[in-house]
Amino acid sequence: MKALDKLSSHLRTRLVDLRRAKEQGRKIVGYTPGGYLPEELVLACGAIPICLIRGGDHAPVELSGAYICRWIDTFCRAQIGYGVSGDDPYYGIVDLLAIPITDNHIRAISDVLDYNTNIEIFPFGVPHMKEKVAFDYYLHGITRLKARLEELTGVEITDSKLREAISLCNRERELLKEISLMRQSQPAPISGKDFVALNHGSFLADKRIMVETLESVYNELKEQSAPASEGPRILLTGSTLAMGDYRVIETVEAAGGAIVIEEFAEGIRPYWEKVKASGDVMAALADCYFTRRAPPGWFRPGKERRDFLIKLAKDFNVAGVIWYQLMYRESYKTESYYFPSLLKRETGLPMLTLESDYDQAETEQLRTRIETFIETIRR
Amino acid sequence: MIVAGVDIGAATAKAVILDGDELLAFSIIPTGFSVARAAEAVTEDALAKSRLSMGNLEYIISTGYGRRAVRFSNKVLTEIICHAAGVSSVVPQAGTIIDIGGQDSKVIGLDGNGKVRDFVMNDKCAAGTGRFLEVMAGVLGVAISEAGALSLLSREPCSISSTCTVFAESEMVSLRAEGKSREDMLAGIHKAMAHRIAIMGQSVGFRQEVVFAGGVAKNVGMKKALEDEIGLEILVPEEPQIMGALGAAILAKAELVKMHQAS
Amino acid sequence: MANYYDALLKLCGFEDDEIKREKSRIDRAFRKLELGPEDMKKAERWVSENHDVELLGVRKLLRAWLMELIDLELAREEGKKIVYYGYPSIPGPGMAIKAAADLAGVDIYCGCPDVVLCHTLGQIFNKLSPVLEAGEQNGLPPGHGLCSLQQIRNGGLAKGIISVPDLVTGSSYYCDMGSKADELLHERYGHRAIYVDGSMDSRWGEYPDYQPERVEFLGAQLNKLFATVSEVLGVEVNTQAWDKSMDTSRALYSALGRLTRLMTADPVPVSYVEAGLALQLTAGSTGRSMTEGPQAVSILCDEVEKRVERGVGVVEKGAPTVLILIAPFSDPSVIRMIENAGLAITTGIYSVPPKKHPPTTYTTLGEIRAEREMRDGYYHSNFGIAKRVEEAVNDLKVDGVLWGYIYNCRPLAETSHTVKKWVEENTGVPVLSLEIDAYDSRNYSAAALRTRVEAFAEMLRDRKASAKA
Repeated sequence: MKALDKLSSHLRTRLVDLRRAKEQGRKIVGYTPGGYLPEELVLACGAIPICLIRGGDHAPVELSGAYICRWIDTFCRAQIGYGVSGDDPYYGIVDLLAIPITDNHIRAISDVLDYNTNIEIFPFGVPHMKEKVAFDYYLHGITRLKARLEELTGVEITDSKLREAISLCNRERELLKEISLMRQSQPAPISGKDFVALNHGSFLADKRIMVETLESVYNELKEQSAPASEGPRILLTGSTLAMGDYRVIETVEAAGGAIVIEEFAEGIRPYWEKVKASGDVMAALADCYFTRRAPPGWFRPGKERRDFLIKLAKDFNVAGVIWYQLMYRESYKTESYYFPSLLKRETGLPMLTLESDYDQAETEQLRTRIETFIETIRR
Repeated sequence: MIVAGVDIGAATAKAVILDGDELLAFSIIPTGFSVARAAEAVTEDALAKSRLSMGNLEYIISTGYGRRAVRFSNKVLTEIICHAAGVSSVVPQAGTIIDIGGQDSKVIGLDGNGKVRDFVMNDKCAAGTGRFLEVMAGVLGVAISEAGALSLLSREPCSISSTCTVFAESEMVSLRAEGKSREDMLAGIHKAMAHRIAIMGQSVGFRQEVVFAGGVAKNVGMKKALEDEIGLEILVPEEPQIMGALGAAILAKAELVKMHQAS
Repeated sequence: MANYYDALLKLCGFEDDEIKREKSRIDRAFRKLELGPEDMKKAERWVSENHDVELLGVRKLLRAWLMELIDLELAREEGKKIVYYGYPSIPGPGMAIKAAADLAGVDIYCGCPDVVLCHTLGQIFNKLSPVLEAGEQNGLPPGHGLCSLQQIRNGGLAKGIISVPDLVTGSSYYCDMGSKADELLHERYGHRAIYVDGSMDSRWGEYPDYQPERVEFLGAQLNKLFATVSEVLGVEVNTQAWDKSMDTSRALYSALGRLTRLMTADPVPVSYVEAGLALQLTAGSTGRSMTEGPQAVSILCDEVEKRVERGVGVVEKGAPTVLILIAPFSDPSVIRMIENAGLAITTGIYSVPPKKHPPTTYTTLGEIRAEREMRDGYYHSNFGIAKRVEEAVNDLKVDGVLWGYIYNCRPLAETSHTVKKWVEENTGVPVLSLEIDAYDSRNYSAAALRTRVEAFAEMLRDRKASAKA
């Protein structure tokens, strides 16, 4: 797809752009994934938001072994490894690392990098339930972040600048949603791999270029589809789908499966809701980013997310669910035990559970299990 | 003062006989099934070489995995402490000890006086130990004694990504099927292992002089791979395998001195 | 007529007439736990080997735990409402709930069943493995670093040796696993679960400062807990209940304070295994800890005091002293090994004398408790823990820190390297970062940990000797 090729080449030179921007005095604000960092706050003060979402490679995970024990989520250990290596281009370029503290694994990134590097870490809490006190706490956190961003850039984040940024980000979300909804048709007009590439691209690309790319893709798909496989339709869900961790997607598609929808706590930008235009702007941000979204697995109770997964499975008419998570993320491991029976009860659908420690050695095992699952649901 | 240090590892048993500061003899034998019998046999062997008998020994310290099963020892100390004493006697400016044995690996940090400052060890996972090398060399049909030298001939080390001995073995089989050279595969294995040791030791810190002890220290390929990883020169004592037993003997002498002073 | 458990119970501090009185309850409880004559024999050996049974105080502590176990086993059939709390839990709410029930004349069982099973099936009967295995087979498999305490609760329920509660209140708010495990059990058994949430978002280096909003958030969660308890149990957890629980627990805490002070003697007069039995009572019990605990601990203190006067200890005089994180709950042989290696365990980080705080300005129970958590540091952040360790090291002047982090407890596991490095840098005292499992020692047995602990002990001894010279 032409638009995707353009996006790829934009991403290939993104670091060069970022360095140039930095030389011109702009600030780079990195953040950890999870969907709880309102990029609008960063954009509104002229800084550039970068989500630190790379993964799939075991090398940084190994490096982290000098700073933390192994019983922490693989993706989070990878971030620690990148951060402490001293020569990672992304961790090396950020002026501030904002960390929405979602669970203990992300907290480990915050503490270990704060203690061992010179990167300025800005943690703020994301509660694990959607009550008013929780909303207030989240709002308090992003308000503190706003103040720090103003200090960092010397630019006041006015309501109008925020609304402008919200408009841009809403457009990005809207387009992602429209494109994603197209995949409800049979066959889906765009492969899971390509959709994920788009979603991932949005974490690093210039926001305007990203929106333009999405517009192009949307228009291209309306004209003619780049059809994905006609094979069994799959919902891919789990804890983290990192940029660079494409083994599962590639194996599923090579086996003839079609991933038509994804739901991940980390690595898939939430796009189902838009920030509301009216009322207090900060509250509107909190409302969209915290309240009106499917919660991740560490929310308690997790019923809302499980219901959302079941809804997705039905809306996208999938033949099976693949649950892909990384090692030691206990919230997901525990839920993966009782979710299959819930899924079966509500939809009759089967679920395949996969785990990874970003280890090459897993490749054959993953392939065998995925291929078997695809064959089973094909019939 | 005639003393002995006995180091019973999972793979090999070592004994060192000292007379004062003079090393009389040492012995290295496979541990085999019975730790207690190996302890006796290796000590007897070293004694025979020294033309002495058990009765001549005034103090014996045992160390290593099987230290508690040495019935005739007067005291038991860990191999960490004994290695520090042994290596420091041979390399007085030793700052760090890397000890890779058959079944475990350690990095020991020393203070300015040859005493242990900090240490870290891996005994849960075969991937950073002599066992790892053994298994991989086995896949290639190479004797472990030649594996290191062969690895130095590599021009393009393979990248071994598996972190587990079991999976690395399969990875090696695949690489072999792809036609990679033995030299390149061996170099890759040594590199992977050195990387693991370097990471493990980072929390202790590698400070000069870095000394390589244990059975694997005789592996020239491993020495080079470690030097590449930590960026420092590594010293290997003439008999790296007996450092633990030597240290145990030195500490045995120190115990005797203390006892004499007390009385 | 002799019972098959007489010898064991007498070894564990029960009097003859007591056994006679409680026979029916003991019979039923042991039957539910499937403990027979063989188990008693093994237990007698295990207890004698690992506990200082020559001390009456120790025997009375074992008795307190066994009585709590019997209460736990029979709670449902005795018609009590059952509330389980998680460990670690903010201390206080569990006791306040119990006190509220007492005030209202409602008979409830309020405790942490997994902690009780650790100290009884583990420490006395050495028969925890089947429960762990049942937990592994019912949703919390091995190999994923899942909390073994949760495995024990899960397995206990699966095997039917503990009853489904009426209410479970969130395990520590700083732990994700506890809540998820509670949810898993709720899915299976349908009981009411109330999650107490918190946000661990303070920066490394921030303690003792914190955002006041953290207190308000956690406080609101605790107040919500109390309100739910009212709804489910029909008892009011209010200031009156709180004050009563403070009153009730005063005797125990005073005795524990005395024991903690006595443990700093040289030579350390009693094994930390026994101190653990005492200190960990409230981690699992709000009932027998209060009724039997104070006297047991006082007796122990008297006996320990005599040892101190005579200069008698479990480790030699002048042995290096260490501050420890926690005494393993279910396997006493680990602490025994540490002490046999020649280390004097004087204090645990959670039982250092509490800090004095300025008076609070908060008015609700929840917020007062939440503020205390922030101020005390342990549940403030990992840096908070590190600071508390530093303070303890400086106050107690210990020779080393044995940082036995629980590998499958994420909040603690993530401190594996940072606490060691930071404390060493800031105190100059060596820290052994030791990976353990405090509830399941199958992979982290005394034998597996021995070489590291002994090397650390040898290192500390050498340092002490050099310092003297």
